[in-house]
Amino acid sequence: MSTATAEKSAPPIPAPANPPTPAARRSDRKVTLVGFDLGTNKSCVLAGPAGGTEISVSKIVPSVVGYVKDGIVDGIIAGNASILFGEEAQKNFLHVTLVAPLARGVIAHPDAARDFFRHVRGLVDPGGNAAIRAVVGVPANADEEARVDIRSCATGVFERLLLIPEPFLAALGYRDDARLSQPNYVDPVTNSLFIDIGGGTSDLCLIQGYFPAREDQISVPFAGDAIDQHIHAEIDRLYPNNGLSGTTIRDIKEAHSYVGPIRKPTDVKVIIGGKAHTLELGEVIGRACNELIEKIYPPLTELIGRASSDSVVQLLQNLIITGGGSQVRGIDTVLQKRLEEDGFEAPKVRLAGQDYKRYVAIGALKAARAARENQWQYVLD
Amino acid sequence: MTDEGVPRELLRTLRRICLWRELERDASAVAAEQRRLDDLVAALPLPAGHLATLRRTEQDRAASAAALSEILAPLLVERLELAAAALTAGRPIRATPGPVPARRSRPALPLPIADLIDGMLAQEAEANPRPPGPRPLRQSPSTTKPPPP
Repeated sequence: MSTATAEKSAPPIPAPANPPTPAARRSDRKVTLVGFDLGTNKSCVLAGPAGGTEISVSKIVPSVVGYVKDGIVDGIIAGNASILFGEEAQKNFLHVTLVAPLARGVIAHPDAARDFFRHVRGLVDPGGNAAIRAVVGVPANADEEARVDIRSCATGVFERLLLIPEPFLAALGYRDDARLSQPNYVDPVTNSLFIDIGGGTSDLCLIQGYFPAREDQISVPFAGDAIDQHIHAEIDRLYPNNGLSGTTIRDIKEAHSYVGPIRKPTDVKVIIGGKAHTLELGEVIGRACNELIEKIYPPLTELIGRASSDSVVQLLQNLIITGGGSQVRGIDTVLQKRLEEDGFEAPKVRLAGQDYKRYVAIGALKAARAARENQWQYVLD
Repeated sequence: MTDEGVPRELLRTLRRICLWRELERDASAVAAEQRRLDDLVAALPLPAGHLATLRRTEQDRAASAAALSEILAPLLVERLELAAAALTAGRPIRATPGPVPARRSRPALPLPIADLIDGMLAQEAEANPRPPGPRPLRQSPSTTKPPPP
């Protein structure tokens, strides 16, 4: 194909020097399926071959890209790389400019997001020879612009794409396929309400055996990062010039977060100006985390109210919290108690469990394996 | 290269042959060359090398067409199937989102995952009739260097 002809008839499609025939292009490349939980703070990537059940890659990567600063001496950065990702970027924070591709669950820096996608592709296909089909989780109620941004960043990185709301993927991932035939097993895909509390958003989703409609999903722009900000602001107010970084604040939250009555004392040891100090943060942390309850309780009751009368009793037995927010101590009991006090019939709020970081990606990989050929969207250059 | 003065039938035959070659339907291509092209060339002596030039041009066109069809055809099929799925579900495809539908009754058994995805795609098609596909990137705060932390 001559370049001139290609430019005239198909501008978006670059013409390779020796284009293989369509049949050859299809048959020569191994297809790798990817389940990709693109999180604001952490992303989870699972990959495996099409037509199989094994998982060849399973990684959790901090969602951060580090662009190496000018003037760094050779050898400081391994391989003299110009871009680092995830933990490598965080470890070298002195020598890189850290950029989080996402904010509040959606792409905030498209260039960094594209670099991050390329990194993910490299993780699942180091040789660069496979055709990658990725199911990517998006926040509940992600608008069209957010979806277009993901597709645009994936263009030229993945071959095909499918965007599916995260809480639905969490339900798919949480489902124990081996127990589906057991009479006493309640399939979460059949009747449940998922509360996925991430870094940027808390996503609630009513799942009742069909794909949730838009009105079955509510995304609240308050989650782990907002709690960090509340804690940080309050510590700055109480202990001025403390110099604590956002990473330290997040570490404090992950170690001490709780909801419910204020727990005092909660002594936290920190290093300020090179000296050890003990801060009493029980009230600071408790108030910030209790704000999360105030944000997610109204949409929770709204979605329960949307369930039909013949399904709501069983639904109330399947209120499941997942994501990083599920690690906030007492979040299940506080929500359950509040529902009981408001008169809901025997509600049971459960935590998804230890694998909470992976459920969305597990569900995404299940969806990738089940998707029909015509359901994939092309994201060719 | 110009096609001026070359019979339309000859160009069409060449194009068809090249397309068949592109699609690896070599038997059809060979048959057309032997039964049709040879006669047309014999009836119209061309300057030396002109037939080869015409053939290269048609090969380029056929390759472009095949590449485009490889990309566009599945998108069209996807659009048609989404439209069919929405119609099957009893919901017309609207240009703008409609009112909140009444609560559906819960199915006795969960649908297969692919059917659930069909439901999602039908909802997307209903809410946004434009076919999915890449669009230009939103302008980043920085295209070459990242912003300061």
